[in-house]
Amino acid sequence: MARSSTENMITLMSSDGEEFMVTEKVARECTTIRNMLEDDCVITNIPLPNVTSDILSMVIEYCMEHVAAAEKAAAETAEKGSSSAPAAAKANKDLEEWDKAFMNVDVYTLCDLILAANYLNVSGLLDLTIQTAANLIKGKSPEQIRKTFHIQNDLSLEEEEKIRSQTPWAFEKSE
Amino acid sequence: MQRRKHAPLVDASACLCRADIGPKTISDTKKYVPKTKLCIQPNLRASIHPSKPKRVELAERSRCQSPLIPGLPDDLAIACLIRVPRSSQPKLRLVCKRWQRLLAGNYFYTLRRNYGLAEEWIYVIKRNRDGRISWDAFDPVSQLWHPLPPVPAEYSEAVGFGCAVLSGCLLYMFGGRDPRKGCMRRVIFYSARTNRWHRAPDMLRRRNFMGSCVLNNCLYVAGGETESGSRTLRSAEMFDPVQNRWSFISEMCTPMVPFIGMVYEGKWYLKGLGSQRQVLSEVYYPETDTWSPVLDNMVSGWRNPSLCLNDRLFVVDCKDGCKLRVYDKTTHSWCKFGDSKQHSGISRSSEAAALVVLNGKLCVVRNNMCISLIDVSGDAQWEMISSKGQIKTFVTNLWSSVVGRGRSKSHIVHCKVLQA
Repeated sequence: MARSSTENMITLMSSDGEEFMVTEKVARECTTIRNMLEDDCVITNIPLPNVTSDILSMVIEYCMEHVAAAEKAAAETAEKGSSSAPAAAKANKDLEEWDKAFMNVDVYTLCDLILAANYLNVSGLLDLTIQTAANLIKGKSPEQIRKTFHIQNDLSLEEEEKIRSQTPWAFEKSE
Repeated sequence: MQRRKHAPLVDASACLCRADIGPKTISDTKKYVPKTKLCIQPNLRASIHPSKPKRVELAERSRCQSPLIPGLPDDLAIACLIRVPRSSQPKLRLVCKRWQRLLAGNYFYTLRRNYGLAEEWIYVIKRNRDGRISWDAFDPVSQLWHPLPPVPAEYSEAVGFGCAVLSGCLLYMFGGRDPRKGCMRRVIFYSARTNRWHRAPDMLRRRNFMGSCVLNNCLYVAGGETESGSRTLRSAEMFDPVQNRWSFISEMCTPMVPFIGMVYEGKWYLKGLGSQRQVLSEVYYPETDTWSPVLDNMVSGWRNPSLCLNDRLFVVDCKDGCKLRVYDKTTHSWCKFGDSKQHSGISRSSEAAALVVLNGKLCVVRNNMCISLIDVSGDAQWEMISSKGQIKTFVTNLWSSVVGRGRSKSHIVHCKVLQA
């Protein structure tokens, strides 16, 4: 990513004390940080006690990719006077592919990313992670869902039978 | 994996509803833990008075409650769960008690609706050749037919009953005639949220073959007969689900057995047969609670099945619904509208039985369970979403053959769209 030296750099500090230097533009992708910067524009060092370094690095990676994609699209629009629809569609598709690859993480990381995206208020990342979690649940059997998310089954056999009998179609596989 | 053995980043059982007010730091969130956990429980209404749990045992129960998804606060877990497609919801109920309770309450579905995530399914009520009523639901996303809990006994062989949808997710059946018990006042409803049947207060009069409509989420019925063919009714009544009771509205000008009815421009139009078998039409003005006879081009060209979508009236032009007509307000005439150019014959099984609105598009439902979707706001593109020979998986195959077995011998009595 091309970065001019005049751009403001901001240091984000993770809960385990690691520091990340990012451009202001990338940091502004996080609404929480943007609000802090707007309240106090001289701030350059932001501690983020709720986010660990490995999760923070992923959030920054996501923000950088999306800032770069937006900049590329803006540059193309400026160059040609108007954005060409096929090129924009391709760029969108590329970004979607990137998002999809980015979401190839285990459930623990996914949960931590949801928490971080919520705390830092990165709406794109929050939507992406939450939808990914929903996709993990979709189409799975109750047993698979419990296994994926480490949920304990506290339903008795009678209760299970009662629920099953109310919606017979959903459980044809186990019958 | 290693770090998971340490304490989670944010206390997972805390609800961020409260933490949102103050700075979101670990210590702040933790401070709220015991009380804020209540916010999510739909039956507690604790979000209104989070600091004063009225019943100690409820507070106790919630304190030892496990999170909906370990590692996530409940509000974010719910954000994930409401995005799971409707066809997977029954399985969610079997995961654990908390998921079961969440999916049994209205809170979950209200959120789905507010976030635009509610999905619409088509419910088809049909009569088989043996006279029995059965019904199935079509999920247009997965394109699968789903069986439903059987229609209660009093409606299993009923004729001339009405059917209407209130609140988007409640399907009401009312009146009609049971072959053994005769004409009924009975009202029952099915909730797409709980997938169960319930009973509602009876109507004030016994009716079958009555006209019905929904205005301002209230159910209106009018006319019909009390016993088969013996007495034609003039009376009309209205059910308000908020008050949970029926009350009479003004009587119609003439007794009538309506065979077609519709709400158009905020008024209720009915066309039917009078006691001398003459064709009559009346219109009801809900603001003034008055009826008046009506005879214009709209009513004379109006036939079953019909539909009002975006303030435009549609009827099928060909029996199998391969063409449509729309009513033109300015010229007061019915004009041709869209042609699928796929005429499928005029047999009873390919006859268009109903027009419904699905996700803002017009849907033609045929007796053989073929469904076409037409975007009437755009270029009137026709799209087949359910056809006879649909095979996706073994299970689909099985169900379509179950559904398909009675196809040629059954016909559709009612067709509605419910969301959840």
